[in-house]
Amino acid sequence: MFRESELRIFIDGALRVFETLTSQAATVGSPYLVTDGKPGTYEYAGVIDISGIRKGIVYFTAPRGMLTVLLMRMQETDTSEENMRDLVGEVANTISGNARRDLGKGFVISVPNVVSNPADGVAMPHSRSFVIPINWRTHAAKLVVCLQ
Amino acid sequence: MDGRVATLKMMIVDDSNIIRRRIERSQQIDRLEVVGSASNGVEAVELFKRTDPDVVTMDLTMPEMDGIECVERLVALKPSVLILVVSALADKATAVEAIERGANGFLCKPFTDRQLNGALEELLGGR
Amino acid sequence: MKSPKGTEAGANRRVRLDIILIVAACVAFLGVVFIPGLRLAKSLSNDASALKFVSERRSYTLAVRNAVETLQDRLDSGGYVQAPLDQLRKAGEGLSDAVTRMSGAREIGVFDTPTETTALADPQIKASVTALDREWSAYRAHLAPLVAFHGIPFYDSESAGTHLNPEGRKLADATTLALQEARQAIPRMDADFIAVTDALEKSAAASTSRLSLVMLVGLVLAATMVSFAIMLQLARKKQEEAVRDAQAQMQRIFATMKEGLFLLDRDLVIGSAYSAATKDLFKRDDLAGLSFEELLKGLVPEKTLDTAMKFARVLWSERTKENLVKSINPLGEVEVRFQSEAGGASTQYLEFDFHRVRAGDDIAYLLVSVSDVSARVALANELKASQEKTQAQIDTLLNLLRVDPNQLSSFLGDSDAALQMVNSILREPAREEAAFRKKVDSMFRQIHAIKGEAAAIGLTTVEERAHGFEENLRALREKRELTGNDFLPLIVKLDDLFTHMQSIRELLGQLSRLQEVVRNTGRAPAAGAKPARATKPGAGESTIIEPLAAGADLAIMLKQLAERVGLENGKAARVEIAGAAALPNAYRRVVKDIAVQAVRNAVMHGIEAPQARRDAGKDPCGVIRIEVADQGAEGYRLTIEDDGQGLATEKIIASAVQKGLVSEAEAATFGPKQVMRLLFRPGFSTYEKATKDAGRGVGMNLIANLVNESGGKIGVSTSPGKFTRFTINLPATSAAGSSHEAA
Repeated sequence: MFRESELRIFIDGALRVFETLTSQAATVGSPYLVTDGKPGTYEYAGVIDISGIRKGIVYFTAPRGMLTVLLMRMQETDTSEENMRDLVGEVANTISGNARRDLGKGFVISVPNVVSNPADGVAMPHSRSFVIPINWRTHAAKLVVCLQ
Repeated sequence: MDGRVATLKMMIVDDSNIIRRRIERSQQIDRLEVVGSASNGVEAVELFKRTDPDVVTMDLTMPEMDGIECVERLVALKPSVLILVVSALADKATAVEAIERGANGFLCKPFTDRQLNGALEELLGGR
Repeated sequence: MKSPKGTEAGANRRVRLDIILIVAACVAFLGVVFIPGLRLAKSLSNDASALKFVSERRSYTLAVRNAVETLQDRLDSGGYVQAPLDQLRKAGEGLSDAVTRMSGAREIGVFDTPTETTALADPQIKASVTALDREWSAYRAHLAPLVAFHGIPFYDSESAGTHLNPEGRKLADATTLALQEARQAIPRMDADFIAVTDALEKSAAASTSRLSLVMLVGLVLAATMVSFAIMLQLARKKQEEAVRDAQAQMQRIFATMKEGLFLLDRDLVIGSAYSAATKDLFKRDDLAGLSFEELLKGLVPEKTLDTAMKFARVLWSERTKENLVKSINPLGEVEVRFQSEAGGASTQYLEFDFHRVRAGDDIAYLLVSVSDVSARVALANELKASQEKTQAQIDTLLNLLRVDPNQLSSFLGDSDAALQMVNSILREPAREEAAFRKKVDSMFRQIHAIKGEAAAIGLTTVEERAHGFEENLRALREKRELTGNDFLPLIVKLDDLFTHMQSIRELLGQLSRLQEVVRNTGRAPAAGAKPARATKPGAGESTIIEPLAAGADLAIMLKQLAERVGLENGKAARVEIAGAAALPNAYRRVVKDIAVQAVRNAVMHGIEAPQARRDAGKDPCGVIRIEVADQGAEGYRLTIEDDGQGLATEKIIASAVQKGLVSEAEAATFGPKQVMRLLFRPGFSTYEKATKDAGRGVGMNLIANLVNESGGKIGVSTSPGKFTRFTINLPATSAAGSSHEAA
């Protein structure tokens, strides 16, 4: 059975990025399950592959609007595609770093892969995933955990 | 008893009465004769001085004096003594430490009769 | 495996043996050939020079006789005597000198005596020389007057002619005597000389033959040594080839083997030879000369490293029985974390195995083999997980076998809808605390209903999960601040419930297929049973999940619930149900939910323990009556009544005050109706201990909610010691008519 502590490791990674980059904490929205294999994405997603004891993916996805504001909060005026991707990659990186440190035993965690405007969303390995909305200011991003 | 081979005296140290009896009952090495058993380290050292055993089976977690210290004392009393640590494998570091202090081998609890006798044979080796 | 060190040590031993053999051969050669040969050659050369000396001196004997004879002739003929006398003196001196020198030979040291005499030490020769000496001494006495003579032996006058003077006469007499003696003495001396030369010749011959023997021995020895050397060379070459082969083989093995393999010396430093795989396993090239500690540092936790180093060290102690410590090898299956340059880390499981390598009796090395067992560990984990899953499935299956299929089918449908509902509640975006709180309440109702139903049909695996969910929700209700974070455990539990329901569905599917097979083989064994797959799917399912007469499933479910809850609480109760068939489909669900809670409450709180009932003159088995009455336009009336202890108003008030639902003063003003209303307040329960069947004070509250949601009304009447009756009026529905007719 999937454990809440495992879920929390990923979430903590995501929350930490907001905290450290903007010194304004993000909050966790009401989490839910998606059973049809389509948890959905915003414009940008940083995807981490996980293998070992559990196999699957974890991704962080955020809309352009949120990323733009985030960049601005970071005193970054260049809101190019490149910078958007970098930012999402940074969040995913922190999540995977957290996971590497805390999951350890039997998990192999990949370097994140950033996709923008995924036409069909992200390819999900299983139909059921956990979706954890991440709210920051008025914006919403989400963390999708699809592991078996 | 086989007259050609010298009998070796054996002592059992374990805080569990059941394990002590179990080892005594199960050991089937002809030239081993159980001369006593102790339920803690202090008792074991006393009994060792009185009976001068050649072979000792030793539990590690015991009241009064733990197995590691006991191993050290017994080896100091008689460097040629053969000590088989018989203990649950909760912590390999403790087991390795017992070997470091002079125990000769390790048998993991729980054990079968066959494992016990195999370990004792191995312990006696050339003797 | 043969150790390289072992071969090396063997080679060393063999080389040492070779050297010993060569030195021995040299000593033997010196002792057997060289020294005797030198000695023999010396003696041979001595013999030769002695022979030459003796042969030369032998002529002096003849010279002496000739001189004496000539002297006599001269004396007779009045000739000149000076020349023969000189000749005699010279020969005599020569002979004397020869005899002196020959007899002067002492016991000889090989190197420090004059050459010519050394050979004469032979006893036979000595005897001859002694004889010679004696004879010569004796004979020389006869010669003495001759040698001593000086002057002229004649009177020399014209008249008388030449004739001997007195001295001459003496000389002539002596000469005659000497000549006479010479006839005996000279041949004898000559014979002595011959004996000496013969002996010398014989000795030389013996030396020669001995020398040739020595030469032969030397030849043989030399030949032996040469052949030995050749053999040695060949052997060494072969051995070198073998070593080269072994090394090449080792290299090949090291290059191709998947295992990491290296040697540790006494200081636990890695040797220069290791398998290629070792580098890959540890992701580094600088293994040779690296300490074992350095190798492991950072890969394994500090404590494991410490234990591993101790373990490796105790293996060097002869006290430690190698085979008796394998089980405590701290690196037997160890998780290692490699930090990559990119900052990532990968985790692998490595298995280290230590073997002692002995050279002779000593431990020379520890051979360490390392293999990557990540796959094995992963497999073991999977296996364990699947075993756990299988166990859970078996539990569920056993559970399912006790459950009525019809009830199960409707339960699965209902609960799936409820779970979906829970998920949609969760899915509503929420940021404010109030929104989260509302979700908790909504979810509670759904989950509680699932729990009640699962309990009713005896599906404990679902009941336990729902109970856990409910407990979690309950905790959230009491929590001061609510955020999405607090909901994380809920989705994990929801996921588990979904998964569990899914596995029940799968098991049910398998059961129905199994039943099909059993039925088909049982019915038409001779006709050749059609494969199970060929049967119409509908046919199989219909026998398992065949709709019973409306209400029958409810009756069965409630009876089982009452039995089970009674059993768990040491009570006996039976359910009597009437008019359930009159219930329209629209109310089926809500009535079921209400009845489940009510029956559970009745058993928990209403019905007394059997002894108490007997004492009160009642049947030990309590009765719960459920009646549904169709009241036409008035709708439906549901009556649930138990013949238990009834409701005591004081008890209700005391409990409500204790829970903080009302103040004592407030309660004092309550009339009976108001007291009864307390029953339906959230958080009320009169039961002391919380169990999954009752005690959370939610049962009555849930009933009230359900009734409210249906637009109905609920009333309570009770008589202490006799009964408690709930009367629920549900309004008529438009849907009710049609289903009413159908039923």
